[in-house]
Amino acid sequence: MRALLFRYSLKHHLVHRFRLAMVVLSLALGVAIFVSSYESVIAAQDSITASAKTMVGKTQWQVSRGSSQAVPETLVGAIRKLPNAIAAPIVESTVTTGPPESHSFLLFGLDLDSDATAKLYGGDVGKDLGTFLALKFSNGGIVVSKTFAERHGLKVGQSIPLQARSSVVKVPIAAITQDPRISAAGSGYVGFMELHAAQAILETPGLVDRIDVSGVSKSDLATICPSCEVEAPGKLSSAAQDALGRIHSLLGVSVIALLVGVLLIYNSVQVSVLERLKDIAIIRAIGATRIQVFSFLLAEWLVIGILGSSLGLGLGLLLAYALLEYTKRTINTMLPLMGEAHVSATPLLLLAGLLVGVTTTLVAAYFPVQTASRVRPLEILRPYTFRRAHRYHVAFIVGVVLCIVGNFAIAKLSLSIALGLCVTGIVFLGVALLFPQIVLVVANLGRPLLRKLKKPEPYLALDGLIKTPHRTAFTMMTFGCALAMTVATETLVEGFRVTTGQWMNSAFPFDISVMGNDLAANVYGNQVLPTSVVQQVESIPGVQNAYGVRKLLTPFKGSDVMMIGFDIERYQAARKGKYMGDWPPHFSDPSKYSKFKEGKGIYISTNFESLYQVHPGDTISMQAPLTTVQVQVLGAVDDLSWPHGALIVNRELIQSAWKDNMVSYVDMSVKPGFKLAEVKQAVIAKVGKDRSAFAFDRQEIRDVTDSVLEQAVQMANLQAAIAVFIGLLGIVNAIWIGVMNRRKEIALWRSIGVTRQQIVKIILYEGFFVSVVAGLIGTIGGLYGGWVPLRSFSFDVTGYLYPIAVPWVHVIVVGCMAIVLGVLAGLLPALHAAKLPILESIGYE
Amino acid sequence: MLQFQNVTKVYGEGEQRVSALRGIDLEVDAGEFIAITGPSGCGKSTLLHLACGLDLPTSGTVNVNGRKTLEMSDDNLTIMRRHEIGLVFQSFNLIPTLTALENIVLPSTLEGRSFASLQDRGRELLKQVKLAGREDHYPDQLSGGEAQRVAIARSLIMEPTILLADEPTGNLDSESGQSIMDLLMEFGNQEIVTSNGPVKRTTLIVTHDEGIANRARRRIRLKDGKIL
Repeated sequence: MRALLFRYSLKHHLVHRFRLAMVVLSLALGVAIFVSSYESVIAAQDSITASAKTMVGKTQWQVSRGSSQAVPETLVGAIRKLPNAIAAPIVESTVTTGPPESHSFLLFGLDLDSDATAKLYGGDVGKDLGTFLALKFSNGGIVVSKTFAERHGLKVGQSIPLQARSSVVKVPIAAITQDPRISAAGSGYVGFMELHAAQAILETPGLVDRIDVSGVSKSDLATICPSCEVEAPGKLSSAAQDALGRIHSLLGVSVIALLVGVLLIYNSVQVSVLERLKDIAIIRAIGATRIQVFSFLLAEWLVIGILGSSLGLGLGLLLAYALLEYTKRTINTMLPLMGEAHVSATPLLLLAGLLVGVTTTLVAAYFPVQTASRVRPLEILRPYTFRRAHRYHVAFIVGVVLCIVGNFAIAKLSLSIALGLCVTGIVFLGVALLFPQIVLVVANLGRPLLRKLKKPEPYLALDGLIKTPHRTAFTMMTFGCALAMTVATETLVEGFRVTTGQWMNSAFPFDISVMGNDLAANVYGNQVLPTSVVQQVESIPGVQNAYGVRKLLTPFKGSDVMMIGFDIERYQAARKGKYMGDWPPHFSDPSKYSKFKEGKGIYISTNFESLYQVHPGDTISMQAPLTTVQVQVLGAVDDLSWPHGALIVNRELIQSAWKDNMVSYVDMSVKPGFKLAEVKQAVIAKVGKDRSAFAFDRQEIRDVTDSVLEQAVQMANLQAAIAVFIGLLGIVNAIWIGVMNRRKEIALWRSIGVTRQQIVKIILYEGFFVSVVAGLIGTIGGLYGGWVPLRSFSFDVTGYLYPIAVPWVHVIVVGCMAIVLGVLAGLLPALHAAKLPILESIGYE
Repeated sequence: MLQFQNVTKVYGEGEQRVSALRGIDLEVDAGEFIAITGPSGCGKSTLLHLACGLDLPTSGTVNVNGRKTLEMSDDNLTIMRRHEIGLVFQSFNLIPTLTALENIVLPSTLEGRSFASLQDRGRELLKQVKLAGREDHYPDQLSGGEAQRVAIARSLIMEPTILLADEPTGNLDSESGQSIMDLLMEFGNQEIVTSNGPVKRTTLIVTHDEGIANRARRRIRLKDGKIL
């Protein structure tokens, strides 16, 4: 068999080098997409997890109230009373440097009064311990990471302005830590302060974000604080998980790119086997068993699979470098979580890439190879053959069944993303199976029509394509599915855009919003402003009215949901000023309004309703830092604030139960006759005088949300572009094979007077027909993909059900692009066909 | 060696039903050299295909070295063909991407033997068919007569006890045809050492060339699927 593999197979593929190169390249690109997505996700995850684990030391458990609520510092004392317990309280928050420059960094507050911190992290900081001890004697100073210091020219002894909750505080730099692990945490911007100094900056006296503990059991800690979460170190915050979740979706897209690759390989294997049927029959006739033929053909594709996958691994790692930078940018736009991250060719990655590529090849090769091994030698070797009509009835029926089953599963069952992708793959396979019969039927209907044309080229092109309906169908499918990926992504984006627009128009009466963080640089920033800013803003000429909004995360059923508190009377006044109707719906109903105002009733977002199965009329319990709050659900509204669900409350409830008197935004309306830009400038000048403040108008906020969304799908678009390229290779491959197999026929055409130009036209028409159908598949499949699977998965994960929005411009662009690219793909085979030597080709067998 | 008992072979169904062989009874002993002749479509090739197990009878039995082909699995038929039968086709049926030497040793490589270990035997066969020095030539670099000599050498590599040739001179001019016939006469009666001792090779040649057929020791004439 080895002799067959090396002597026979290798030679065959070397004869067809161009086709082999295309198969290897397509496979390599598919594997490269997978490897790069996988590696960038893993590297991002490692970087974020490493950030979470920095300075973990000997910590066994981290006691917190989720990532959204603080723990009373008094709990530290209770834990320390347990035998052998070492407990160190930690404050951890994103803080912004004050004017003139504004940068976010991760601030840690460490307890330097007890020996717990040294006991837990002493070994970790090692030689840098002195730096941290400098904190103890620095009287409210800060230690900053080397990266932070180097990028902003910070020096020991200088003061750095920090944006405290109500004012800017100048903090002296006590030391600069050289520890590279600390610079690798967060986005490299890290600072440490003494615990109480950090609490003062954050205005959270008596509260810590977590307590790091060792020496005691989890159950002991749970007994001391039943409402606390006790986790091993390294658990990611919900915002971090959300950011990672977005990046994870890239892996799903890479799977679709591989599916496109499967069809191309299937096509190539089938052609490679079909054209060697006579060889295979001879080998069978002289004594090769079926299993021998099956084994050497499969081994041949195994070798090609390994070759393509190896090339794909190399390409993937190169692509991963670029992707990682992109991933870092995307994640850090949401939260400054990712610092140093490296692409590393781990054995697991190499194995996964190789396995994916080889499995893809073998799956694609299996059926053609099995068919070849079942060939009856005599049927092929007979000098005469019966012309066999193409029939795909069984495949068609199986395809219909798979489509029905797949669509039913997507529509009716709640599927995980992984399972959902598998089901999408089944639908994909179903369409691939039923398509040859469709091609056959449509082509047979089209032939008489084309025959009526004065020019013979379109008819001859169609005739050429339906000589091998399955190959034509799969080529159309390959290119069509790649195009569908771009349409599907755009459909989802368009749906999100439309929903965002509707939401903003119905919920927000503001013209300008002021906030403590730069939305363009950090979407999930949690910087706040004091309530007094509301009055400050209202006193600015040109501001008609202003209201404060507080958003904070609070635990609910094991997840962090977002609570959004409005200054309800001011908010209502702003709506009236803009002649806007009720929002939430029926809000003006006196009984609902009074319950809401008294903090006894709230509204929930529709995604909250579907994620937690809470409905209007229900009563829910929410855990405030020191008490449990019971509220009635007054209604559900479409709200896109948070993928884990949002609660809309009167801000007074947050002030009373959560003891939080800050605002996240101050929204304002501009008086008629005043210019938006001038009022915005005046607001920044006044509010930003003594704190970091950023103002955005509605359009700017839309632009930011759109750009975050664009950034999140940019990668999917890149992958789709590569898949389109793979699909194009498929067209070149299929048309080229068609030309090679019809050399004799083309030579005959030439001999009876068909010109070279006409041959070129015939082949280009083939490309045109393939691309027109592929464009249709791309549009219909993409719209379907965007509406059904992607929308369903998105609903399962976030609870958002986006409206159906057709991205018309994109669809038209994709359609035109498909035709142009398809015709261009036919150019090379067309020129080759036109140059075929007539006499030599007539004798070709 | 070869036994046909009341063998019929029918192709197609319904109105397209064609009887290629009708009640053939034939016994071929070891060492015989037989020419099967008859007009086109009389069933000559079908008889040969049934003899090597490439096809199976519709009714009746074909015995090859004491085994009924109808009762054998596809794998067993294949292995029988590999070890016991040498096949020569009218259109040579060489693999175009393999050299002459590679084509010759191909059946032996199916036994799991390396090409290197078979080279000497291959060269020796090439010499015997008078093509020494053409080891590295590809089929398209050989004339029809040369290609058929390579095919004969390939059919002999496993030292089969039965040699079946289907119109081996059909695609050749008369001079090349005669030299191919010379080779078949030479190898067709060779003595083969088997596990049961020495056996003379049995050869069946299908031809419509009377001159070729006259060189065989026994002639079987077929007409309309029957032996005359």
